[in-house]
Amino acid sequence: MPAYVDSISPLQVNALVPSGVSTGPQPLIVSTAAGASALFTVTVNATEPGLLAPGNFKIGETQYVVAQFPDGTYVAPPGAISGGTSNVAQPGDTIVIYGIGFGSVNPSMPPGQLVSQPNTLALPFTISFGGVAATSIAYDGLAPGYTGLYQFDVVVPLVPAGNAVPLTFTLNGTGGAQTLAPAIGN
Amino acid sequence: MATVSSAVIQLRSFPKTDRDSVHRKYSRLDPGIPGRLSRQRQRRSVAGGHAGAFSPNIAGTSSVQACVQTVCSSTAGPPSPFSLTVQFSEAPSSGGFSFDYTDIAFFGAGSPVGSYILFGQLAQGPQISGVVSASAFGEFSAISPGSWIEIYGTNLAVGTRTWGSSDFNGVTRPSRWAAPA
Repeated sequence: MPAYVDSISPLQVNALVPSGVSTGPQPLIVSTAAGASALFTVTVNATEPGLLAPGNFKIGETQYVVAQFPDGTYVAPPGAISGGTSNVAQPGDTIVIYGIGFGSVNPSMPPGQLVSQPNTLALPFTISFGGVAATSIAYDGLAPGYTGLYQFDVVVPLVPAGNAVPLTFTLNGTGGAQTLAPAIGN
Repeated sequence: MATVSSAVIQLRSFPKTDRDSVHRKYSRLDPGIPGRLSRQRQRRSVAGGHAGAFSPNIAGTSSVQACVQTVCSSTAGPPSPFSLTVQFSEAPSSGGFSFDYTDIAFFGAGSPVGSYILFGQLAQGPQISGVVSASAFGEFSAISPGSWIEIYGTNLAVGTRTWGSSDFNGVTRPSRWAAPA
């Protein structure tokens, strides 16, 4: 089944995996006017969760998760993020974190179409700061106005301050594979 | 940086065709490669990304080479038919035509070795070298339905393009989040 193509170049194609792809090893093919590629086998899991944490959010040895205050300010030490303003979060602040691969939502939203209404993850999701679970997650679902992008509106729990407080999450009881941190003040 | 790829060109016999027009066509592209038509009798151009073929009709003492610009593979010889593996690279253009490795490789034949005519072309199809979930979200080797992935390889597209809102009648396009530059 065809994927939703976001961008193309000779060396890289970015695409959105369609729904309905079976789990397990699956063949992937790129077709152009010059022909079709050989089958490339890729492992498909029902979920493959990852939080947004690009390379330009790695400051020194710390990979910061992209977390934003409602006004767009990033949660990181002040001045740490080139091209954007940043500040530490305080316990009780609501911050927004993004991800992909978190699986189905209710009500169902088909990939490749703009998400038009609020929704919630079908699988249980937790997120912790410094080992302390956030007790308030105001939103966990696909982000309205995007496709394939999940949004988590999280209230920062009471944790000791630090410029790199470990952030972890679980989806359906399984921990995420990334090592991430936001900056928490106090 | 040079990108090296390979392809296999099948050489086999074909009926005689218009060799002069072939020579004119390709000598325009690379005037540095002299034509020597006496041994080149046929040409089949390649469209749609499939391997090309031609009959060098070479004698027992002759040989054939496949070339891109002035870089040629090892010589192969009769009897025909036989296969010839072509190694080619995206070499900087100097004194010859500008070769787009994403599109076409040229090959030729000649006798004696060193006298070549461009004979045909071989379109390179896409080749996948890796697939990961979006790198900004962990870059995992496994993917899942409804998630963004990055496909790496060569010849995945002729050009570069990202679709925008103008492609969707001015409304917001389906997209993923983009980090600040």
